[in-house]
Amino acid sequence: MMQNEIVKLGIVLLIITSIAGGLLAFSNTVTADLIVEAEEAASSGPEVAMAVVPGSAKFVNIEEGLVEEIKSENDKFIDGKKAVDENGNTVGYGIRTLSTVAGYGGDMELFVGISPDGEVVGTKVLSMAETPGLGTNVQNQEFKDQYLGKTTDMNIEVVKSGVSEDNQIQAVAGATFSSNSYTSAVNNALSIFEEYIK
Amino acid sequence: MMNIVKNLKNGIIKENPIFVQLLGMCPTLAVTTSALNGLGMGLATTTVLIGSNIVIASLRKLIPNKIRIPVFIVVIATFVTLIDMFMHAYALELYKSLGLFIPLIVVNCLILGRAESYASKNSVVPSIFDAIGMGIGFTLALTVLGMVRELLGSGSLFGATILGGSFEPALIMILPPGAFLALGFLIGLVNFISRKKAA
Repeated sequence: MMQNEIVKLGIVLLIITSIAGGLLAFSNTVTADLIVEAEEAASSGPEVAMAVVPGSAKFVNIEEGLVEEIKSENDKFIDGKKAVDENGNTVGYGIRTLSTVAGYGGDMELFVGISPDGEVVGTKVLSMAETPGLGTNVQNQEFKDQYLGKTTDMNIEVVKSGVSEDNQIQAVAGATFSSNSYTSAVNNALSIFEEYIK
Repeated sequence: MMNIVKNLKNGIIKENPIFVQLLGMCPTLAVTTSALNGLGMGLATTTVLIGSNIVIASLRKLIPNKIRIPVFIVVIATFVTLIDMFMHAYALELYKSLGLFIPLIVVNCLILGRAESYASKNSVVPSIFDAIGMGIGFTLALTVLGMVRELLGSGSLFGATILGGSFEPALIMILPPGAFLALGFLIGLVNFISRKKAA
């Protein structure tokens, strides 16, 4: 009698979980492609290209083999794209990388735009977990603009106050960790550009 | 008809999940850094609540009493996963800002609480309105909390700058302590008003 009940309860639970599983499998097949598309558009879509490399219209892929090669040698590197204008002319490159120095909330993920002659032309945060209102201030235009024109032969440094050299960046007030982390990602992008793409 | 109004009123005012029952505090405190986050979390939770109340109320006679809790959890988790997938596909920005708290809707005690104390004992239609009432109450509370914190902590409302210029945002309001401060004052205010009404 007791065993019968256990079997009965087990079967009821099995039926319910099977229906739930089937439903989830179905909606997964519906949404899986949409999710990949949405992620792709948000991280490497035309809007990102325009923000990172001014004057460009969209990103196009660089050679698959090169991306794989850089990935195998630089574990912070995520993706590399070529930025083209409406006529298909190359106007710069976008390098997507994690920071090599962790911020307050771990590594942040950046897209760094570099002109064909090796100058930073734009940066954009794709994801970060810094403190809202403090660390997230690295996204302010005033801070980001400091990177413009920095070149591959510089190793960018963060100073708390009084920028005196060309390769120095003024940290965001109260957010030195986040500023360091941001800078390390830009430096990583510059060295990848110098070594593989230039 | 009277019952429907009663159900709604119960969820929104008399037994408001946040201000009166203090249920589901984890998402409440964590995601209300802005009004939009509060609203998004509230709506996601409401959708799950309505779905799970419908399914549980219609299956209530088929579910053996001994395994009702695992069954409830399976139903709730299914709805949460559905929301998670569709939000990821159609509302990426919101999905990213709510982050971990979407899967955590599964363990929001508000939803299991309504399943156990209402939907498993009542028929489908009243259960739907119970879910809508509780959902609106939850959403309203989260949105108000988010508005207070966003206004004081970033000087904006739903992303639009309201207090610009000389206003120095009180950063603490969008940090975790601000959640407790804002919630405490709001509960105090709600109690003050309800006692005045009763007196």
